[in-house]
Amino acid sequence: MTLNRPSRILAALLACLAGALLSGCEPANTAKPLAPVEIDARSTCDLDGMLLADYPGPKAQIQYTGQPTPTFFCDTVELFHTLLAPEQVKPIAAVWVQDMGKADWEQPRGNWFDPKTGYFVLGSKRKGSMGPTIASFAQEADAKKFVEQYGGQLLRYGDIKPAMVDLSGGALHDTRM
Amino acid sequence: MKRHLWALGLLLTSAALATGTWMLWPEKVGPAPEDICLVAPPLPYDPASGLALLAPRPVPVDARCPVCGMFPARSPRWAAQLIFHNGDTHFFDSPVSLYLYLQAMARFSPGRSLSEVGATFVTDLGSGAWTPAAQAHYVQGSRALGPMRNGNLPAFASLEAARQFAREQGGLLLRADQITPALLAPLDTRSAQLHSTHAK
Repeated sequence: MTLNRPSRILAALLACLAGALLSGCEPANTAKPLAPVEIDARSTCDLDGMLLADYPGPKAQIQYTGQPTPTFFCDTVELFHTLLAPEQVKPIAAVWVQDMGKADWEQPRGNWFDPKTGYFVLGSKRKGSMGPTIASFAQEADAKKFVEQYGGQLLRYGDIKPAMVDLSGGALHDTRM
Repeated sequence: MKRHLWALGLLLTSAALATGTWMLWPEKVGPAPEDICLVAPPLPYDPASGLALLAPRPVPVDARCPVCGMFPARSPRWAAQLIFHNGDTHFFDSPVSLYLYLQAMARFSPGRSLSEVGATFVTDLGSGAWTPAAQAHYVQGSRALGPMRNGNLPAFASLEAARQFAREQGGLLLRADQITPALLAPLDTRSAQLHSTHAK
């Protein structure tokens, strides 16, 4: 009886340990509501395949309703091009862009926020992963500071029009040549 | 006695579970290769294609550029390819990516060397035909944006076609041997940190 006790305790401890380790293997966010997914070395742009981690400028993601993983965009121009396209009819659960007031421009990570609440700078001197881009900010003050430093036009979400995000070049590039 | 067996059983089960978890663990949380992400291993030669070992091949729809990750098949007029002597082939979204690869091969294909490169081809923008990269004519700084929307060195089989393009779209003519690291640096849109990691 006295010999049994230590082994029972050990067994119970091991069972707890195994349980803890096993639950640690499961994706931690299965039960959580919608949350942005972080970029890693393997994340690629769903539109063109580009690696997200290797390129500068704000990235974006759309969580379509019913999709297990978000659709990544290597650039905010591609995001708005997709959101504003007349053929965009897939139900969207959430959209995130990066707050460039906080994230490092060269290698932005984290700092995701809902673009509908954001401030945007079009036509600045800073290039994103696909050339001229739309810098995204959660705070107006950060966006204004960016305009002072790099130029461009300060816009709210609803101000961004399809002609500003034409992927074939158009307005974005005409002003730069 | 019964209790003893029960405890032993639980102990063994727990140990097996713990071991199983431990064996799976390294794959889940082991150190990820932070610097290199091999999204695009070279594609092996397919003898059934009927093509010579070092002849240019069509771009497979799912091929990825080893430099930027893009699908070259989606911008066929800008695509490039590099064939190793054993027939393994890399496909690139643009001539810029091909030359970035050639100038930093150790980074993109650890263990490979330039001496293993058997042939390189770029696409003639006008006709869509493959043309040897070393003999092609390139236009730098034109209004044509290319797959990465940043001016990606369109290529031409003939000097006259390159001249005509530069007259219409702007830009300067280049030969392959003029595509130096200094010329490529402003065309390399990767994060500044990555520029420095492959600079010699």
